[in-house]
Amino acid sequence: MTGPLLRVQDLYVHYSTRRGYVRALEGITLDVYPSETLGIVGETGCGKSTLGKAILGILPPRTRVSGQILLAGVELTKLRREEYRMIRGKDIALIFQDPMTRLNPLMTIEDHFIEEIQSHENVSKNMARERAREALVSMGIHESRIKNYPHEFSGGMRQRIMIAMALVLKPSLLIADEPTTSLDVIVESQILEVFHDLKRGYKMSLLLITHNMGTVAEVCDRVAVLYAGRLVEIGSVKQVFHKPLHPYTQGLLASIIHLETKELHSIEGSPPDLISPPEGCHFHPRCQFAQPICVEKDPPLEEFEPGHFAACHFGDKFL
Amino acid sequence: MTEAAAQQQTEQPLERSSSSVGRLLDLLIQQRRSLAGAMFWIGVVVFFSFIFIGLAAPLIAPYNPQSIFLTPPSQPPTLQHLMGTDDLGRDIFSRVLWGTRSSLEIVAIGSVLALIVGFPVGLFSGYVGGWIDRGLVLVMDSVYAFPGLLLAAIVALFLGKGVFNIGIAITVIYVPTYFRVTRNHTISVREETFVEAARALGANSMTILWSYIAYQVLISIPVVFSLSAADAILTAAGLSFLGLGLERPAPDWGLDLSDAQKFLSSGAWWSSVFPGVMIIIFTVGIAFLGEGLSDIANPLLRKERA
Repeated sequence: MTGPLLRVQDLYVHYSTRRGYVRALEGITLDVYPSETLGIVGETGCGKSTLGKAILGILPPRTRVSGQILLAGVELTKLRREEYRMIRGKDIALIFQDPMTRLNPLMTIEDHFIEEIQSHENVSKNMARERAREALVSMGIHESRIKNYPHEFSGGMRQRIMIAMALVLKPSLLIADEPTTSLDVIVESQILEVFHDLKRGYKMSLLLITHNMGTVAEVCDRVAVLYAGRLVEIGSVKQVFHKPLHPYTQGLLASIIHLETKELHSIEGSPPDLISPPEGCHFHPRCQFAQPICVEKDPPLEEFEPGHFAACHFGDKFL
Repeated sequence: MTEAAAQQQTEQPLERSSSSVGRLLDLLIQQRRSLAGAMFWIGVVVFFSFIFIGLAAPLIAPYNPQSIFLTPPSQPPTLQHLMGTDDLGRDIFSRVLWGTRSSLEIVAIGSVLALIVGFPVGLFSGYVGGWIDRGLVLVMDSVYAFPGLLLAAIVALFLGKGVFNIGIAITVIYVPTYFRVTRNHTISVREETFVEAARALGANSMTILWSYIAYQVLISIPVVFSLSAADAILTAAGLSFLGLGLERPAPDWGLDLSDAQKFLSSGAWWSSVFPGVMIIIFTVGIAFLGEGLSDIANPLLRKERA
């Protein structure tokens, strides 16, 4: 298997609102290879979660979507509703950032699993229950708790339950949308450990959406940086962390807090309004290197070194 | 000593039953001394006594409700006629007991039909949204805007008299109530993040609608049911009072009230008071049941009152 497992090509997502269309994603193109972990980073509101939902086809109704999403060569956007539904959970699974509210409060954990397994595979209740038990135990939750309700678990446990649910059908792609944001540091490191194991054990591709550069450095193979709905930089973690080519990536990396940090660095300004984004490069109003050309021309994504792409007119200056 | 008490306290939750119905029942028993709990249990007693009376009317009524006694009519209560006799010389006690039966039938038909229509339509409307939802809301709201009794009277006028027809007339009034509550609740649950999570794991629309939304929305139904049932008794009595309900000489509270009011001025209070009191007790009883249930089952309200 040399080809990409997931190929997103020229993906545009525009949310319809009263004030007009919010350009949440504008022409995203990226590949995820088998058993690779790709990190997606960016500020709040840059389109990270939208990307995850677009791949699963669970965007709200009346959202304009164009472009191609191919999973193992199958064009997802052209699938019929029922076929798309069968892919969700079975081939692609999504873990959300807020485990506290993602489980149905009126269903036991067992019911969640049985319903999920039976909606994809024609198996008996007992078989489904058995697999649910296995999946829970593999996430370190005791099987005696399978008949408990969601409110009887802590946040970290619920996230592990969500992960167990995402993994029980052995999907080839797991999308984790800020899986550790709402959890404390110790639980976070446990969850990240789980992802490490997944990569080794299941040979699963992981799309890790996060705003935590530390998590990316720890878990990911490659990283893609989103800004205002556009892909501004993509490359291996090593390349991007050592030679960030886009000023936005440089800003993100500079704002990581180290033990020696005396003064917190931050990027001036705030992300643009995506209903009427700025002309040219979306980042120019906040960029300290901005030149007249940045206002006039939208920089294309260019390859500056093998496998390392960036969308900046002056990318070669930062090499 | 204190240690043992503390231990007992921590162990208590484990003894409780694990099914949700069992938990609610435990809660209702636990709360029986609170205001809401007392209301609920009073309501339960009243409701089931009336059901018993309705079912057992032929056994417990001392006389045939339609037989006319040849003693002078309009006798005040005596040992022989516990609630006296009416202007035609019929035993009011027997008529009141038999009247329970027709009231129960009408309310059961009306409320259950309204639930059967209003709940699924509301669920569908709220889940689908868009112009279908807007259209249904418009229709339901225009029905809702009519005064209930007037609308029921119009429907009853078209359908004619009889228990089933009055039941239908009452259904028409209460469908919008169920619809509104269900539809609004559905919309709020539809946006819950766990519904999106279920979609992300490939649940189909029917599963989402049923086990993720309907179960949540069902919580608000018992309260609407009991409140509308209480209201339906009044409406049914009102229809009979206006002469649109049951056919004379059927025993019916509203009908008897309407016949008795002419004789109030001549001092025959018993023929109006007893059917009226029955209507009040039954209505208040069912309303208590619903209010108490909602206060206890809803954890937010429970905390507020505590």
